[in-house]
Amino acid sequence: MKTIVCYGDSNTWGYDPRTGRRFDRDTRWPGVLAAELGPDYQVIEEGLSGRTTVWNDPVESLGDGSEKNGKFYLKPCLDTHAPIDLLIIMLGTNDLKTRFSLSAHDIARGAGTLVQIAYRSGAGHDWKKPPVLLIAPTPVHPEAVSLQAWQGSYDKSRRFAEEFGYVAKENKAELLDAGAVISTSTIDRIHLEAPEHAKLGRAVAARVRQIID
Amino acid sequence: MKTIVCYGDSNTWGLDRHNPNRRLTFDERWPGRMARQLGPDYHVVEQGQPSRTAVMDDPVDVWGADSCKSGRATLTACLRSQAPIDLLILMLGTNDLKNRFSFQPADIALGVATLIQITRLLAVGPRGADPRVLVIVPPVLPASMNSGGFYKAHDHSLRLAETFRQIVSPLGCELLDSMGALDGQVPDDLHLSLAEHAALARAAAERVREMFDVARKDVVAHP
Repeated sequence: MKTIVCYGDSNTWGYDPRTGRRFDRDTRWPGVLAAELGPDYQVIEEGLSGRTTVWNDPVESLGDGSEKNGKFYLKPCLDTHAPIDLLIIMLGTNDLKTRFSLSAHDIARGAGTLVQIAYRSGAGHDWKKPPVLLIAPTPVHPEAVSLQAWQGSYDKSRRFAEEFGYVAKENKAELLDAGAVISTSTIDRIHLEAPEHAKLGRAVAARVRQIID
Repeated sequence: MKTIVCYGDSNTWGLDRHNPNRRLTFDERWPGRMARQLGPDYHVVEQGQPSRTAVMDDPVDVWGADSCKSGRATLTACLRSQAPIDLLILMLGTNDLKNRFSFQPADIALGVATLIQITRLLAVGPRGADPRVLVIVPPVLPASMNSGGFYKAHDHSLRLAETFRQIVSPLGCELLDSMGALDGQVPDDLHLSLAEHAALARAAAERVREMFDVARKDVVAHP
């Protein structure tokens, strides 16, 4: 049995832009991945709406916003699911919010920090480092910039493939460019519709087989 | 499909008492066994982190040295990630018995009560309601336990069940005393044996079925 942890934000949790509710398990991409890979794989969903790479977000929180910080939760999450055969990280979209004022470069660096934390975690087998597949999030919809919280987000997000590429290479992590596979919904301009989840799940499955086999 | 989140420590994670470097398999640890007994209508999400306490971080602990150990600090992210949740099972308090925290049994029960109150701020149940909560009182520690920071923790652990009844039960959650599931036999190690995982899983599965059957009857009685 191989264990894969999918660490992400609302687009991993499965936020449905039509209803605001959560897609069912078979629809969201980790579920598609699990179905593609079959019973020898255990796919663990760890997606949280609003999660950033390394930033607290007190604006969308009843507390200090630390629960949105992907860096804070990663180690407890890895401890919880160890031993892990593959960690998949898809984060960075929420870092595009106007209030964080981050460049694509900084966002990718934040994701790189998560990769390094994972490598030092000993959450792989025999306390080794787990392999990491870093997914560069798909760019937001061009019209997202008209939302107050997402000013300037589109141009920055178009640089994700390149910037995440550098970070993956530096850290010897695997890379998948989601923007080459899927696109963001026109409905809310941020989230993924059901067919995109299916495409992403299949693309990730093909990649996982290459990495693990 | 009902989603059940098991939020706990190394005894939920499944640490092997004979080899602390090994995790018991899904079929051996209690959440996995419970999942098998409940069948395909239930989705059991394992959320056990070794060394997790109810409310205190633990910078001293060596297991995952730079991980936050406070169940309170990580609860919001965990619950929102797994929402919507029909039932939250909390089994925490054992690590709070460590001497460095100087906790009385009432402090531990209050910590667990705080977790329930946080849960109810989040509306992570079905359609924005609250999830049901089942609190499992952790097992009594062996009288011989004098290592791992648990020196003389046995006496406090004996009082957890009564203290949880007084402090946690009034919050409107279900309580399951693990010592009842173990027929009162005190484990001879901090970490549960395979037989103890099996006994706990049986008792938990039975209680879960009761909780959801009662819920269904309620619906029928008050259409």
